[in-house]
Amino acid sequence: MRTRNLFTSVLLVASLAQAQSYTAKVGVISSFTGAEQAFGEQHEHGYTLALEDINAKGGVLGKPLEIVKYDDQSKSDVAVQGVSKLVDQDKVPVVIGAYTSQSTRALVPAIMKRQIPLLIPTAVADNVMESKSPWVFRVCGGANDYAQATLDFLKVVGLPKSMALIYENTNFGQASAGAMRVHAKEAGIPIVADEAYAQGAPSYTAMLQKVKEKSPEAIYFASYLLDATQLMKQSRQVGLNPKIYTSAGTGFAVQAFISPDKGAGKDAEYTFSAQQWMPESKWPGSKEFAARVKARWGEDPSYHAAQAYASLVIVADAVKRAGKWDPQAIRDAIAQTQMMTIFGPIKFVNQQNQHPILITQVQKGAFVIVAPPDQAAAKWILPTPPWSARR
Amino acid sequence: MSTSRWLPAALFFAFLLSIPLWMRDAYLQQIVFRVVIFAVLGVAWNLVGGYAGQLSLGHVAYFGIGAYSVALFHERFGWNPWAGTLAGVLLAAVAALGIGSLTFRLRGPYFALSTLATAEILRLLALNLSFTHGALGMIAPGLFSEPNGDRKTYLASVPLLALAFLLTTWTHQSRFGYSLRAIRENEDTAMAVGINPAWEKLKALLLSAVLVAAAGSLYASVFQFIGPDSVLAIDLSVQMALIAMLGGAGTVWGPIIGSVVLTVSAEWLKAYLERAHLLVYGLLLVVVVLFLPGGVVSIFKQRWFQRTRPRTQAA
Amino acid sequence: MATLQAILNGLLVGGIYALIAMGMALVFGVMRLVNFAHGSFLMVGMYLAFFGYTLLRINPYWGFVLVGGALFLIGFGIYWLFIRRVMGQSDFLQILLTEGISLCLVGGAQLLFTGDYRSISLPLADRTANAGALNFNVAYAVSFAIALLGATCMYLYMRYTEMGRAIRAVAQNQGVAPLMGIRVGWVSGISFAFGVACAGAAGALLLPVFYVNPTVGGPYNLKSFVIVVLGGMGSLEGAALGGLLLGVTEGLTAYYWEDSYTQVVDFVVFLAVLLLRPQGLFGKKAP
Repeated sequence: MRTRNLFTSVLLVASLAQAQSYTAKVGVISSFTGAEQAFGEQHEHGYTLALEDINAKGGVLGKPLEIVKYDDQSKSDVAVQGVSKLVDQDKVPVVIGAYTSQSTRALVPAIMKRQIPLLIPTAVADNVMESKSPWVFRVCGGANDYAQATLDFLKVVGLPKSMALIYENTNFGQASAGAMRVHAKEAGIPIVADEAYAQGAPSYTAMLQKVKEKSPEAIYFASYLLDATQLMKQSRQVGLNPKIYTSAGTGFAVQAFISPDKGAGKDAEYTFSAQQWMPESKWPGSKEFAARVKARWGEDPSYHAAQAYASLVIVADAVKRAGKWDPQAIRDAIAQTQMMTIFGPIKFVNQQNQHPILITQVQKGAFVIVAPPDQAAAKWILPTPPWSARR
Repeated sequence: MSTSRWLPAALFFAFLLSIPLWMRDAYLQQIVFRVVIFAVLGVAWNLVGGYAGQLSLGHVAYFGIGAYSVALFHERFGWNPWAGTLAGVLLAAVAALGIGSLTFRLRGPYFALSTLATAEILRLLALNLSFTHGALGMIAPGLFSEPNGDRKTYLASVPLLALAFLLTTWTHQSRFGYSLRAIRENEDTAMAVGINPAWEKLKALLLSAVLVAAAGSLYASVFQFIGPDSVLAIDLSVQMALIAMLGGAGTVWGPIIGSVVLTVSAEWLKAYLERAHLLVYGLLLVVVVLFLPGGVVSIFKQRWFQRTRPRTQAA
Repeated sequence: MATLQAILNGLLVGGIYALIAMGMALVFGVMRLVNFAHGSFLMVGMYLAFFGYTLLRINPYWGFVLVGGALFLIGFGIYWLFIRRVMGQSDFLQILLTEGISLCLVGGAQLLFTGDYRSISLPLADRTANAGALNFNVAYAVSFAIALLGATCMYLYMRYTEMGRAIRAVAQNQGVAPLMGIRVGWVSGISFAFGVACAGAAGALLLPVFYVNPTVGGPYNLKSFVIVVLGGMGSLEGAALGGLLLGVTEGLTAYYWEDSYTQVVDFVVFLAVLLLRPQGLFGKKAP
């Protein structure tokens, strides 16, 4: 008995004796290698430019800002290890990350255990916020916001009499479909087809054929780029002609989707997508940011880059207001953030940023913002011409 | 057992238990935890793969059952994670009986492929059924509450490894182990000498599955977020085989050594050669199969052998 | 009508499956080796086809012959350097060796090409044609035709050439074949190379309608196992028919149930065959 007490007290002392001082750095986790590398790179662009801009203005608390990066290799269990490395070993008092909803969801419990603020730049699935922990903040809009914004748009252009959901079998896909199911029900739109597909298959024609037979007036997709491309090409093959194609952003919202060699090219025309951000958005610094990314890395930035940029800017600002590199203080400062960034206005309600979601349509081979009215650049084209009438 | 037999083991486990006392860095602590968990997995796999010679590539199924049980029983019935772990272990045993009786009818590559198929079916079910929340995954409650929940879970994992180690030692020396080795060498001949291969293989699988499920529960308790791709992935099954092979299949210490070598080198690789780790795993596997089928342990056995035997004089 | 459409789609995809699986069936038939690296060779073929197209403008629809040839050489090399050493040892070690080779290939690809997805865009790949009320993708039809042609050629080769006969002899009885003057090692190497070449060529045909990244081979590897067992281990005709059958089954599952269940169905079919009719459709003996 005595040995046990002794053992426990030694353990307790040993753990308490751990120095709790944090370094003056921000931890960043993203998928810099692995399947999602392309998006990790977009994050990288955002973080790099933000770092330069912040340091050009004098850094944070009198010193240049530094970030410590951790690559989750596009795997969720590696992301969790990243938290341990960044917080336990490198002692960062704040973390921004990750990229995928899967990785992000995985690292939430680890973050909560360590009581460090986490700023989520990109994960759309709503379960990443499910813990309602005061330590977890999200900058981007979530699956629920996508569904809401899409439905608001549908109310303006005319509610469809039926809807089909086509989504990938992942955290992101299932979350997006779940959110739309709820909103569609509220609006009284029957879901006539609810198809989850296994991603990465060469042919979805059987599934699309099945959806075609239900004659939905609207379709809501939730896919990453590769499947988005396949789905549109095969929709043409099958002759699937709803009045309106909508989507939960992501695959349908990136530049590559409309390019003829990497994406669906002409088959992407007329599709609508929920968008987090576009270079043309009317937020200050948006266009300039896009131009800088293009000039430096030769590619247009996706919204992920803007999210990363804004996230680091928010954290730097929070640390300044907190006055010290302390997790609790930084957390409280983040919660009180009110600022305008290239990614739009930032204000957290229950740790979720109230980010306005844009709706874009692919018109003549480019994304055009068609909603909300204060951001719209052109009018939407509806109804979608059937495939046989195109070309 | 003589002192020389249990002393190294006792020292080793005492060392493991002592780690939380002097290892301040929680990140390194987490790595040690993973070494222990993977050692349990390797030792457990070794019973079926190393001793009985049955190449199971579906062991991750039991890992997933252990992990999901903790999460599911907590969510559905409010059970605490200890009860969930117990449930997981029992479910794994039942699953082992089922899977074993189906798959052990097959031999060689057919067996390996069938175990692969059963594990994949489990993963796909977890992915598609709503009660496991599909790809959204689940949160497993920690076995111990904060603070220091992770450290305490680590301390709980060491006895699990010790149990696995003892089971293997017993197997190694007992008639059971003899039967398994006989089955490995030649199943038909084993039958001819009165061994019932179906029953012996099943026994090995039961022990194996139970250990793997317990490891799965502990893992879930520390990482807390589980999903079909983290606790039911094929890669884990291959890793278990690799750990046992690398260290020395069919030996008592082999898988433990294998886990230390593999987990530590994976960490080191991550730091310096992020993109090359799969390649290195592959090379390791190829090298072990071609040049060191007995694993690391066989290197020591050889040297020990040479040192304690007098050299014969050259003629 | 919709059912017919689902069946047609399934058949077209199944053609490519068949080509991939035939390679594995050949290797198993002759060497009794389950090649866990088969899917990775598919991936290598896809990358070769990708670079062949983007750098040299070689259209995969005829370039697949070159890709097949390249992979034949690579396969033979791998046989000679590695596989040969475990022939005659336990299948335990054989399987682990091929798994190791697979990891090396995937890992190497990740290192060289990163995990990024790459695809090419051929006008043919986007064209749709109609046969009455049924529609189909022209590219798939072309791949199907080529796969059919390839399968026929392989069959004829096995039947009517000297080497083909030697291969069949070794497949039938490895012990007696040397007595007939057949160099088993050489024949095994050729068979392995052929099998790998099939995977590579199929990859080249798959590229225009799909995309490549280091891990793309995994699911096809598993599918090949299912098909080979379904058709009967070692039977080329079995693998060909098995491929078509699996394609159709998947298509019907996606149509009548849900697309996300197609993978489960693959494995359930697999287990069912292994347990109920282990010799498959055309196999000779039960395992």
